[in-house]
Amino acid sequence: MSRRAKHELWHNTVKFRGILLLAAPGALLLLAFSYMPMIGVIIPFKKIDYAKGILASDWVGLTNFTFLFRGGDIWRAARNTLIQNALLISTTLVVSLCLALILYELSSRMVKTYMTMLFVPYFLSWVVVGYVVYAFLNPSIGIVNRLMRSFGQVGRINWYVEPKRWRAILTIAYLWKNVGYFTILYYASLMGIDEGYYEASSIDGAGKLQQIFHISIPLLSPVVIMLTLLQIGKIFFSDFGLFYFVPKNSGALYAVTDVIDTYVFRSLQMSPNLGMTAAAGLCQTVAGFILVMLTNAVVHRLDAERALF
Amino acid sequence: MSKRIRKLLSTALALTLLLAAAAFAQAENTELEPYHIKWYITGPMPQPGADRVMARVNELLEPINATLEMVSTDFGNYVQKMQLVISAGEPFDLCYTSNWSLPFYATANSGAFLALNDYLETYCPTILETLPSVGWTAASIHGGIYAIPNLQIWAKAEGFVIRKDIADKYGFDVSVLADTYDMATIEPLLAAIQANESPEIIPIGLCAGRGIYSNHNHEEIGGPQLPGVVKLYDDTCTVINQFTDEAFVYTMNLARDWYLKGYVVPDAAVLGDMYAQQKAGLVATTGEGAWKPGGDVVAKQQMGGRDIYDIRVSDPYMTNAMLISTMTAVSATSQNPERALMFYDMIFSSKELYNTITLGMENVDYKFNEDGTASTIPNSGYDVSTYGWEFGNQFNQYVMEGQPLDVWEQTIELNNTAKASPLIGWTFDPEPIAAEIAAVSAVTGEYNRLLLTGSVDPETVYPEFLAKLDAAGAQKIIEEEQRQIDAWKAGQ
Amino acid sequence: MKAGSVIVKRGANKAARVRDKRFSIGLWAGYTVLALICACCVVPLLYIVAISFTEERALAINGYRLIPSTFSALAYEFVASNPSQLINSYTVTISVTIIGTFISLLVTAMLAYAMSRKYFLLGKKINFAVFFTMIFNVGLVPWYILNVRYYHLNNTIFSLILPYLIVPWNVFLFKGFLSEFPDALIEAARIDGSSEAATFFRIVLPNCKPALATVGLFIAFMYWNDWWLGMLYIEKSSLIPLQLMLYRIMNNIEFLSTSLNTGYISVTTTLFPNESARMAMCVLATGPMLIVFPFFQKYFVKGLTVGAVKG
Repeated sequence: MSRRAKHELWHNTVKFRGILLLAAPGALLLLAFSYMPMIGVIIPFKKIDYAKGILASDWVGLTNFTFLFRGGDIWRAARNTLIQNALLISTTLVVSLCLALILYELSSRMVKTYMTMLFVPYFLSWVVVGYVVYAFLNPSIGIVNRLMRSFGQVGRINWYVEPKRWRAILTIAYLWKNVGYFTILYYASLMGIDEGYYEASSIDGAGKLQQIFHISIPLLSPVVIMLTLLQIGKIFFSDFGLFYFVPKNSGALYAVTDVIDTYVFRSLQMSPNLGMTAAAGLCQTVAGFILVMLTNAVVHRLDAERALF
Repeated sequence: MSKRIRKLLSTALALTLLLAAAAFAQAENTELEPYHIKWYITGPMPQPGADRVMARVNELLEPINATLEMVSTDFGNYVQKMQLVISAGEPFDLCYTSNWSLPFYATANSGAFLALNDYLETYCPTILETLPSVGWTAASIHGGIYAIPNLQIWAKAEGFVIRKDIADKYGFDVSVLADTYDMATIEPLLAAIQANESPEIIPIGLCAGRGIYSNHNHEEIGGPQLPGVVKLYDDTCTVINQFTDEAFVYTMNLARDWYLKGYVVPDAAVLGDMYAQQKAGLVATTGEGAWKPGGDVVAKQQMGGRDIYDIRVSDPYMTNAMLISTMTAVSATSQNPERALMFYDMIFSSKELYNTITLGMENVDYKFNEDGTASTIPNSGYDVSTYGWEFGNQFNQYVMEGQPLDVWEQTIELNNTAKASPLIGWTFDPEPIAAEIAAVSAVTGEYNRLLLTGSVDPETVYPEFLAKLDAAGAQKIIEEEQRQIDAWKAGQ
Repeated sequence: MKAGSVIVKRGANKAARVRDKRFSIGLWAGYTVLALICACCVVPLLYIVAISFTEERALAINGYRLIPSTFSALAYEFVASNPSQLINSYTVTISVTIIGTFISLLVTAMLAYAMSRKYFLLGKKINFAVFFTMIFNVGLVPWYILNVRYYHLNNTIFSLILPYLIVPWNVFLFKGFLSEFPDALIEAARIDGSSEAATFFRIVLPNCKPALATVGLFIAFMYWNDWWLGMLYIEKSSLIPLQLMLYRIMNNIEFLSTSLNTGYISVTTTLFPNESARMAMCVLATGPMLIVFPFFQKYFVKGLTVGAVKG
């Protein structure tokens, strides 16, 4: 480091000591619990030998990665991961944003009741959600098939064997569980908007819809863009429970429900292997990282202010 | 010598012996430093009454001056937890290992377990005496013994359960099935149930967790999800792919036929079990996990207390997989493996210790009945008797109410008479084909349940399955297995 | 576009709302949709409660019904059969949630504040550093080894708190809220000679209640719902959190009712409720959070207006 750069760093440190002090506890925790473990990035390239310890285990190059590409189903899983996650991110955004905007127009007492109702499913684990979905879709005594029969539909749908509706079912299940979370988030962001904007615009004769499109949405957009970028970074990972418990791990549905995480789980369930698990995780990380850097660059070009970094 | 003198002498002798024994025990006690044994198990703990039961166990362990701590992790997370504990190099003494949870060969191969060869003779005399040698063979890898197989039922036979009232109503003769072992023989019964019983009665409780096809007559080399089996009666030890075997095709087509006829529930492929339906009396017939002495009592309870026919549908056999299905290993990080083994030997030698660990305290957690059987006291806060197979020697367990009094004798007899796999003594090293194993596991995980429950059309799906198996490297797995077996046979 | 310098009473806004008839139809349509969606959220929950009170046998025969065909509280009796452990676990979870939420919210807010200040030159670098930890996945092993061998967290209550104190996602959420925070206020404080810390605690924190409530709620929920840390690090029964305890009971029931082929099962165990117990546990685990929820909601209030300050 040149003397000048050193000087600048020192100067900055002194200048921003107050704010650095505020950032310090969080930064130290990140260092301790997130950066220190990153030494484990070597695990996928090792053959773990407990007797030698992880650091001293033998290097094996890319051996631990080969299982991913041995069968060919990984491409199906990758496609499902991308398509389904893109669906989930976009529908959640649209639905929860709409709900937040509607809630914003309601009196505060009503808001509390509605919001509680919306948020309640978020408390449930995917295992329980899986049971709830099964209660609806059980082919013999499920609620949906019973209803359809009472409306005179003959023949029942064997939900867990026919894959064609499952992209929608997964989306609905995800929305059901998570829309409350994002609605609260956007609602609270709306709360933070300076009320003066609305007041001024209504004096100017702007209608509610105009207010929504000209004030609320533009002012929410930084948050929306940020959250979307964050989600894109994790797009190759998926909510394991949603894809495993909700379709009840039915092989007949894998055409649309098998994602990278479930594929890796199924591969290694009977013969667990630390190196191979870590190898899959690293691939997902790298792919997600590249994708988010590209997206961020695009956002940066359009509007530097809104880029993540 | 007068009678009195003799009596006096013998009393004196007994007294000296007693004193000597006490002194010896004390000496032994002072020789041994106090040691705390940590034992990782899977399943039942923590039990509310664990503290008082462990206090009692520690009293029993006074002769070896040890205390015991049992740490339990649930089945779903045991493997992951143990992998972390082991890779962190944390000190502990004993842990559960098997072919289905914390895989024995892979874990032992990566250096987690201590080789016991030099310890057994000194510290485990009872185990050496009790455990049949076939157990040690299965627990050995390249000559090193890396675990102690738990003594329990090692033989396996397939079972099938039919509700007695229904079989009798339609005059179905169960001996046909018992004699032929052919599942197709129950078809007339299923048809009669379908035609005459109310629609919510399920003719056969076939589901993902309870198939009608099982591995009778072959040893699965790398587990049920991997291609590669050797027929029990094939001394040439030729590895074949069970998924292309005619037995598989036969079962698959039978299941499909029954599925289309409506004998099977439509979502069979996603059901792990049908216990709720069985208890509610909706299931007429079902496969049984394993046929065994005393198993009919359990099966009857599962059918909600209805009388049943419990039919053995295969010869009893014994495979490597059965032998290593429950074992206890000593950790390479143990600070005092000698003491851990002395403790484990005590589980074999002391019925009281075994039953305290599994049943708890007498008259608090369990009590003896007049006929000598024991029964648990409900809600006492301690009962891990269902996990008895995790703790050394299950034949030490008191016979429970409802079980035949000679249940363990019957089990031992079954173990001794079962047809042994020609592969016993050989261990499979999955390391060279780990990538193929993972890829193939993903494929069988997708298709196996679907095809064997009849949920999909074999016409189109079966060729797809075979093509994917091929692409994932099934042939390479079979070749590697054969290579290892041939090398082993040549070395014998 | 600092249009907000005009102060208008709330009433005027309402008048504008009434004038806009076209919108009010749209709004009513919105309300209807909202009510429907809320109903969709709640109905399955009613099923869960109903199932938890239904006899297992009736479930197998009739499927799930909103009104139990055969009422039974056996599931709750079973879960509550060990009251001391249940109370103990509630205590652990409640303490962890309260302590964890408080500290986590504080450090999250402080870090997010630093990241959100545009004049702070290192801000973007820290942004990237935080984001990087979010997507970088090297698996559990190194993390576990560090916590156990070097930080010695196992079997302490800290193991249930420390690892989750900073969650990148929450930091970004908070940062998102703070980026709306008017710079003018902070600037004004600075001119008055207030230190960064004083500005943060006296001006920023009291004025971002919705952010604190939202992120606080999410953090509290995360701590409340966690069994994972307990499974990894806790071996003493006195420190077992509620979710882990319930999770284990569930696993035991599942095992008892599925792996019966391994040994002798007494009659009492085969009567254990499976599905209804799962739902009962779900009710027991989520119930308290539903009571706490309105407490957080109280702080979903409109933020301050710049206009008011400027005026």
